[in-house]
Parts: sequence; C-alpha cells; structure tokens
Amino acid sequence: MAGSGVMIQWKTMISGGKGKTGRFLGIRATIALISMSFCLVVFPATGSTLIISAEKQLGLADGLFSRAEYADAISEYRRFSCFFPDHPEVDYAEFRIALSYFLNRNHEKALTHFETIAGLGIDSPYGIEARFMISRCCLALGRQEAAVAVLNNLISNVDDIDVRDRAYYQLGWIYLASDPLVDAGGIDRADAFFARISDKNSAFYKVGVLTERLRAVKEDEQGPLLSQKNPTMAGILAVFPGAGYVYCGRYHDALMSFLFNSAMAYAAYEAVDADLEALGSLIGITGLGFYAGSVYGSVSAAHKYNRANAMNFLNNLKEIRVEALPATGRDGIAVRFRVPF
Amino acid sequence: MSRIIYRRHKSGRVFFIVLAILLISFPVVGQEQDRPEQGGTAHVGATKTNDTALMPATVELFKKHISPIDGDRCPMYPSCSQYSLDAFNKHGLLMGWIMTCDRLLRCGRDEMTSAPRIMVNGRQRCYDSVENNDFWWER
Repeated sequence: MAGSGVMIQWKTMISGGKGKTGRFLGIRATIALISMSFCLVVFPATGSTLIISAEKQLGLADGLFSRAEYADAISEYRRFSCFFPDHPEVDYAEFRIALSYFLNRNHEKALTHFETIAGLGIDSPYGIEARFMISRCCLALGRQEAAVAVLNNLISNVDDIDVRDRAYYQLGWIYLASDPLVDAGGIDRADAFFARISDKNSAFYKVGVLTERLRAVKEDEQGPLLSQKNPTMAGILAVFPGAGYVYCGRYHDALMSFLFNSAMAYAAYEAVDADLEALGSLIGITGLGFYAGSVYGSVSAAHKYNRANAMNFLNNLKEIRVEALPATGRDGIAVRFRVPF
Repeated sequence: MSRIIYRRHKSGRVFFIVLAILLISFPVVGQEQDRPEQGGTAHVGATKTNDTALMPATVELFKKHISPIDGDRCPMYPSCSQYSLDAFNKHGLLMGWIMTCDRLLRCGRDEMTSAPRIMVNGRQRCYDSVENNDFWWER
C-alpha cells in the first residue's frame, strides 16, 4: 500500500498534476531527475580511478602467500592468471598455486597441478622444480616408489650437475626418512645416493658429515640399528606375563602385568574351585583379555621402542639437513639451512 | 578319583559357560563392521561400531555415569575410556577389547616417560592415541 502511494505521488510529480503549481512541480522533478542521472554517470568517472596492474595483483598474491594464507593466495594467483594471461609471470603464478596447495597439505591437488606444470616440458621455466615437487607430493601421499621413480627419471634426463646432485640428495633422504623405522638396507641405499653427489656440491650438502654419521650408526651399540628390539621375541616372552615388557625395558608395566594377570588367574581358579562357575568364567574371560592385552602391549612396546630410537637418530641427522626448497622469490632456488648451534 | 572326575565335570561346565559368552559376543563383532564400499567416503579407521555393541555401551555407561563422580584422573590423553571407544570404533570388538586391556595395564606407568606430553585443559598429559599403538600393523 505504501509503495502504491509513493508511485501515485511520483506520477503526479512527473505529469505535473493539475494547474500551474502542479506543472511547476513537474518541471522541478524532471530537472532533479536529470541532475541525479548526471551525477550518477559523471562523478564516478571524474573521481580517482583504481587500476589494478599485473604487479599489484601479483604483489597481493605474494603477500598472502608469505603470510601463509594459502587458500586466499591461490584465489589471487588464479585472478592474476585470468586477467593477465599473456603476462610473463603466469608460469610463476601457476607454480605458486601448486605450491600453495602443497604447503596447505592438500597433496593430491598439489600433485595434479605440479604434474600439469611438468607436462609443459623439462625445459619450461618450472619444469625441473615441478618434478622435485611431484616427488615430494608422492612421498607425502605415501607413494615412495613413485617419488623415487620421478627423481631417477629426472637424473636420467638432465645434464645439469647441480640438479642431479640435488636429486641424489633428495633420494638419499627418501630412503632415510620415509619409513618410521631405520633399517640397514635403507641406510646403505641413502649412503649410496649421498656418495654420488659431486665434489662440487659435497661441501654444500655436508656429505662428509652425513656419511660419517650413517656409517657410525651401523656400529653404535646404542644406535637405532643394533639396539633394536625384536617384536616377535617380545611377543613370545609375553607368554609369561610381564616378561615381554621386561625385554623392552618397561619394568613398571611388567610388574603390573605380572601381578594383574596372576591375580586374575588365581581369582578364576578360586571361583571355579568354590563351585562358582559363572563367576569363574566371567573372571576368566576378563583375565584372558588382559593376558592378550599384555602380549599385544609387549609387541607394541618393541615397535614403539624401535620407532623412538629411529626418530631420535633421524632428528639428530636432520639438524644438518640442507633443504633446497622451491623459490620463494621470482627467480632461482632459495636454500634454507638448519645448522645446530 | 571321584575328586578328579568332579573337577573334570566342573571344567566342562566352565567351558560351556565361556563358549556361551563368546557365542553371545561374536555376533556383535559380525554386526559392527560397517565397511564403506570401494570408492566411497571412508569414516576414520574405515569401520564404524554399532551403537548397540555390548562393550562400547559399557564404556559409554562408565563415561556418562561413573567418570563424572570418580573425577578426571586419567593422566593420559585421550583418557582410557575415550581410547577404548576409539579402539572399538576403529578395530571392532575383539581388537578393541585387547587394546583397551593393554591400555589399562599401561596407564600412568612407563608410557609417561616415553610418550610426548601435551597440555589439555591446563593440565599436562601423556599423549597416547590408538594410532600410536596400532601403527605397526594398521598402515
């Protein structure tokens, strides 16, 4: 109703209503309308105009990326690629999109994007970097064999000694750190890849220290290789409650396991002996669960012991790791050091 | 002689009671596995426990009615009852039960020195999840 009222009034103003006064009002309304239209059309054009240049757009995306706001960075890099498709930095933007997915732990999408970039050819601006990143994505997705294959393929297709050395270094670390347990085979393979790094880059990658530590760990009685606990042995020993835990160095757990299982077995026996078969059965079944739990726990303790030892060793080794990460600027490779002090 | 015969008779009865309990339990094991079809969206651990399962219901009962009175005393995170539910949800009745017993035996002892510490509600606890205990066979 209110709307129709306004309409009638407006119609009266435009048509001028009746009489002189009405005509005068009609002229004023028309002038006002033309003025408003003029203001609406002219003023935005005469005000300050913001033109987003390619550099500004890319700067915005880079800023978001550097602040680790990867989802927003992806949108802005996409906007850049869309509005400036002929700009020379489009490859850079596409690579940054893939990298943002990787750093955002969306490894599947990152892999797809890096594969697209790698598909442009090994000589394309980010062809080699994309291959390194594909390997890392595969590793993050648990596809170790694929990660190794990508790097081996890169080594066989590239003559650049720096790229090859970097691939050898990354391959060595794949064999060292991808499995939660360190085994002699993995150490030997890693050692072999580190040994292939050229003299030119061996100091840069600290090959001497690495190989020295890898060889030392094979002879270290307390190291992750020689001090490993055998999970099968722990399980067999756990047939006698607590013995498996003792083998793994868990003496409190061993004592508790021994006392609890003994008490349950004795209680079940006493209950049955006192003609309380139902109670005896209930205690027996409960005790059986704890007995099985004790065996399971012993095997698990051996695995956890080995894993903790391996992680400790790897963490010490990672202190001297040189990480060659994809460029954070627009050209070249940024290298990040982590040196103990 | 009669004593030996009597004992054999008793052990037979115990055997049948145990068998009856196991027969009652195992259909529950069969029902609780609700594996998603291939290509479908998997739940965490790829299994889902039937809410009517005996043991998880017991643990829920403990969590709802006993634990609030008994107090928040478990020094580990997740607490033993939550760990138990996680184990049942992920591995079903049999392995869930074994892992629960294992956890109850270990709670507050040697694990405290080896597992990482985390702060939960302003209190330091020892982090010991199901994933930390099945990593060697559940990859």
